[in-house]
This record gives sequence, C-alpha cells and structure tokens, in this order.
Amino acid sequence: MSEAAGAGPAVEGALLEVRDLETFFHRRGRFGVIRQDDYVAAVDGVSFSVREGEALGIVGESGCGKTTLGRTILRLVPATAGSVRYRGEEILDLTGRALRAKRREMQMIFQDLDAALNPKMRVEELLAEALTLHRPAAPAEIRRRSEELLGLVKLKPAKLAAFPPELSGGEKRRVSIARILAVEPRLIVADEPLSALDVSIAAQVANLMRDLQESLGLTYLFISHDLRMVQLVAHRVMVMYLGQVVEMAPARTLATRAAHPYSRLLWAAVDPYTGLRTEPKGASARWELSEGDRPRTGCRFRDRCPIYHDKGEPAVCRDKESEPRLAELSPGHQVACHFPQGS
Amino acid sequence: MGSPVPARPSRREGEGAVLFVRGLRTYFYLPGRGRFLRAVDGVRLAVKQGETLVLVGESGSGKSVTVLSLMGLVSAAPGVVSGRIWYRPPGQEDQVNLLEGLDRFAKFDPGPPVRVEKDNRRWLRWHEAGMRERRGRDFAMIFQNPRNALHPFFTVGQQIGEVIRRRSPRMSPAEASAEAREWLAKVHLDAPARRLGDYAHNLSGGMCQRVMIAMALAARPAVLIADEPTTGLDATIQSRVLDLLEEMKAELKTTTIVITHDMGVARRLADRVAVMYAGRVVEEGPAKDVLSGRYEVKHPYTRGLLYAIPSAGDIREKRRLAVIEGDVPDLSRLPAGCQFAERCDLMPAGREHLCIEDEPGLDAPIPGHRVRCWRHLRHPSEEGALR
Repeated sequence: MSEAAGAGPAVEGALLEVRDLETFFHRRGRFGVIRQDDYVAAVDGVSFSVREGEALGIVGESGCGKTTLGRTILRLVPATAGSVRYRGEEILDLTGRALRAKRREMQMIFQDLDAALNPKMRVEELLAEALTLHRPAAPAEIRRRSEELLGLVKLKPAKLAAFPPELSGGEKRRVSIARILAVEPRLIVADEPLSALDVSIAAQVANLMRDLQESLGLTYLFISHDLRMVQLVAHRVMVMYLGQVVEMAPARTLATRAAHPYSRLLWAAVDPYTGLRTEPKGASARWELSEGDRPRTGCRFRDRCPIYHDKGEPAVCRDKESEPRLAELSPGHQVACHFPQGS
Repeated sequence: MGSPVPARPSRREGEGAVLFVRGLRTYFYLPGRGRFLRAVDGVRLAVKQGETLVLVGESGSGKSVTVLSLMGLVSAAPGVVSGRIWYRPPGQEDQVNLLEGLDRFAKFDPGPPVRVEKDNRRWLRWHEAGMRERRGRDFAMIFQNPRNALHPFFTVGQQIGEVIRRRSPRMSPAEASAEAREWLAKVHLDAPARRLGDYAHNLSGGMCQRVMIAMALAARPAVLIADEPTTGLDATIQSRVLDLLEEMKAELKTTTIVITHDMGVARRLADRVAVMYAGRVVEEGPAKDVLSGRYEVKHPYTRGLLYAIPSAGDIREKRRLAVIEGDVPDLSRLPAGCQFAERCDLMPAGREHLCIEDEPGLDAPIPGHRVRCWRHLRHPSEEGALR
C-alpha cells in the first residue's frame, strides 16, 4: 500500500498508533523455502490509532485478519511492514528486555479458554505466577493481591483453590481476565472474549469488561464477530474485510448509519430485534469466498457487493488504479467505498 | 416429582404428536462424589407433525442430553433411568414407546435419596437393537460441529449416497448420486456435481454445515434434530444457514427439534419453544408468546435470556445489559425448591418461601402455555385464585 492509505495526521495523545501495518504469511515451497511471490496478506495496510482509555472494536468475518492484527501488534506474529507505536515508541523494533517491559503493559485475552489456563494449576497458582512474573512478592502479599484480583472480576475468594476444569466457562473467562490484570496492563487486546460463552454469561462478562475499563482506565482492542456486543463495549468500531479496514466509525454511528455495504451486510445479519436476518436482497448468492476467489485488483468486496451489481459492475470498482481508500465521510467516520451508503 | 408415568399417553395430550416425551430422566453417576448428576430430570415435551420445536437454554441445562436420550445415544451409566418416549411412525395410527422395556432393566426411586439400579450394558444392547434402524431414517440429526460430524475418509457424495440408499435400498448407485447432487443444489452449494467428490477438509465451516443439512434431509426423516446448527459460524453464514432451514421447513414440512442457546435462532425458526433450566423444562408454549418480553406469563429465566441479547435501544444508549447473575446450579446437588430461586430476582412478594421450599410443577396458567413458576401458579396450600 502507498503512503496515502495512512491518511490523516498522527493523533495527539494516542496510546497506540498503527501505520500501514502489513502481515503476510508466505507459503513454503520445497525444502521449506519461503516463496516470496506466494503469500496471504492477512493484514494488508492497516492504519488506526487508539487514545488512552478508549475501547476500539474490530469486527469482521473469520479470515478477515482481525486476530492476526491483534497478534501482530503484540509482537506474537512478525509484521511484514509498517509501524506500531506505543506511547510514541516504535515497538516493532524492540527486542529482549525492552520488549518484555512493553509486554507487561500490553496483554492479550485469548479466545480459547481451555488453552489459556493450565488445567493442572490451581487458580491461586495461576494468579501467583502472573503476579510474580515481573516482580517478586512475599506470599502474604501475593495472597492479598490474588483475592483483590478475584474481587475485581467478581469471583469469590473460595475459587482460589479450584482447578480450571472445575470452573464454568464464565468463571474461566473471569480468571483469565484476573490473570491479565495481575500485571497491571494499560492496553488489552481481547480476541473474541465472549464467543465461547452462553448468552447470559457473555452479557455478564461484557458488563464486567466495561466496568473494569471505567474503573481502571484500560484501553481495549476488542476483537469480535458479534457486532451487538462490540457496539456495547466499544467506543469506536473498525470493520475489516480481507485484511483491510473498510469502515471506521463511532459505535453509535455504525449502528445507525453504516456506510460501507459490507458493514450493512454484517448488521443485517444480526439485527437485534428480529434475531438473525437474511442479507439484503440483491446481494450476491455467494456464501463465502475462498482464497482463490479474492479479487486481486480494485475493491475486494465487489463480488459480494449489492451496489456493484446494481450499478452494472462499474469500472471504478474493478480498476487497480482506483482501489477504494479510507476517506472521511463525516468527522470521525471513515469509509473505503466509491459509493458509500446514506451520504 | 415421582408421579407414576401412565402406560399410554392420555388421549388429549398425545393427540397429533409425532413425538411425546414424558417424565424423561437421564442421570450420570459421579463416582468421585458418590452422587448422581441429574442432567435431565423429568422432561416433558410434545412435537406435532410438521412443527418446529426449539429447545433453548444455557450449557448444562440438559437440552443436548434430552435429544441424545431420544436418539438412544447416551452410553454413560446409568443414563436414561425412567420415562416414556411415544413416537408415531409416519403413516401409522399407533404410538410406540422408544424406551420400551426400560422398566425391566432399571429400578428408579426418585428419593430422596435418589436410588437407581440399572443393568446398563444389557439395556444398551436391547435398546440399540430397536434404535439402530430408526436412527438416520426416522430420526436424522444435524450436529453442532459439522466438520467433525462428517467422515474424513469418505467423499460428500459417498456419505449422502449412503443415506439415500439406506432410505431407498432399491436405488442404483448412479441414481443415488444424482439425488445427492440435487440435495447439494438445494442447500445452495456452488457446483454441486464437483462437490460430490470433495472431502470434509476441502470445505469451509459453512459448507460442511450445509452438507450436514443436505445429508440429514436426504434421509427424509420423520423427525429432524438440529443441535446448535449455527454455533461457531460467522454471523453472515449463520444468517444464511437459518434462511436455508426456514426454506427447508416451508418446502419439506419436516417435523423438527432445534437446540440453541440463541434466542435469535429461536425467533427465526420456532413454532413452539421450550426453555430448559437445570434438566427441566421451565416454560413451554407458542413461540410468539414465549419469546415476547412483554407477554404476561413468563418464567424469570426466560426473561433473563431475552434481556441478555442487546436490543437496538441498548446499543443506541450504550446501556449495561440486564443480566442473570450467578451460574447454573450444580446438577449433582440440586436444591429442594425451585432450581432457579438462587438467581431469581422476581420471586412473588410474600410467597418467597414457596420458591425456597417447594419446586413448582410445569403447569399451564393459560391454555397451551406452561410455566414452572410460583408467580403464575397456585400452591396446593393456597386458597383462592392467583392475583
């Protein structure tokens, strides 16, 4: 992507600033040799910034690159190009001790609950491990802090003696959040924190995450495919499609005035009143796109786009030169589409 | 609890029902704790011809074990300990009890303390002999994890073809294959002819789910059971799968039982809804009444489930969600009174002691809509009408 993609000046007071971030996964040829020309662009030129204390929601279907984006920011996956600045400091170049120090401030809530908690360690030990990871502490202090942490996530101190398999899904999620809070992070990347939970438990955890953000002043990157929950937790929402940001707007704006046809399609799929509803008529009958079907030039969404079909497949959506880029529609509302809706 | 189960369904209740479940109890023994886990504890359900019944509830509410019991797929001991499952095979007048002979293998005393004596191995062998023929022909099932439910070593065409040839043994392989292709086209798979040769690993999650649906429907079952058919799929694909199930419902009029924890799914598919909690049905009635937050008769748990989904207003105002605090109860140590009392914030004023002491039965304050809650029911000790 060219520099124009990262349009807009650097945001003042941003905690996290991501510019033109690219993460490519190369296929390997014979003898494991990386094939430079054959790759999947999981994250393909993403730019955004998050203020301290803000919750940014990242939504999109599986395969849109939202998880890879979160992992790249936390240096769990190497970036191919671009920049990630945390409090103005470039973190893609950090190594060793400097990286470890930053990792304390940036934590991730993993999607898979059972993989995130060692089943053979008691909750007490799990918390103690996290508490003493970056600085030593006396046993009494650890105990006091552990109980405090469980209090934060609204679990009873009695749960300290439990093993993860004895806990319900909601309790496991709370313990995993307590463990993350133990290192006093400033930025939390939450990857589908609610997806494995039942509706009523998901609602409890969503409320908890909101409370924690307010009381501790945390900054969230909230990754989810559930638009309803994202809208409730996040201040701003970023919609991703095939590795790129197609729309970015305040949560409320996106709920009522989504401009990109893909955002609208996602919305129509989870209408809160009727439950799940069909895609708008006129949308292509294709269910999903496989890797080989991705348009290489022009707008990547066009095959599923009702507007593209309604307008008789205009060249502007197909041409390499006129690939849609994020442009401001109204203050704080950006969209990458030649025919934004409702404008 | 423990009311004797009649040998035949009463004329009124059983009428028109393809499937009529009464007093179903499925327990598991926990050797470590020396107790029984009461996964399904006295479930009563009726499904009429052509109707879609949706079972909703959280994990651990017993909805999956209920349908596994129905299919004869519970192998852990002691498993099904009592109950009747009346099934009316297509084109027949008489109902058969799918749990025929259970009394010979199992002695059950609801207690307290609960006592079960069951020769599970002999029961399973006996039961399997009766059920093997019905599974995949009378009853077909769409499983939660479609990728694991498809056989990895057989092609889609072979698997659907097998189902078709079991249904119509005289069909030639070529005819079966042609029909398999038709089913794949019906579930909107691109290039169905090419897909026949694909294996499960060639397909995406949404495609696997559609193959599962095609396979289940190809059996032309009397009862189709779908266990969490949309869980784990993307929102847009979920919506498409529901479209497809709706379409199939309209076209084939298959009697269907759907299990879900998502009220949105229930809204789309249900004619009737049964809400399960702690191994019991706590509310059962017409979909539009059970799923409406404003309807008069409502179990507090159903209410909680409805409010756990953010409404448009919640999102606009960024309200906190009204949640049911707490967790599902330990099914091996259920309290004496109403199972939901611990989490309930709507106990009837002045009558809270009922909720703590005595479990309400599933009864109908208005015809056709049953609820298990003292807010709507009168206790035997109480005089006069409610409200």
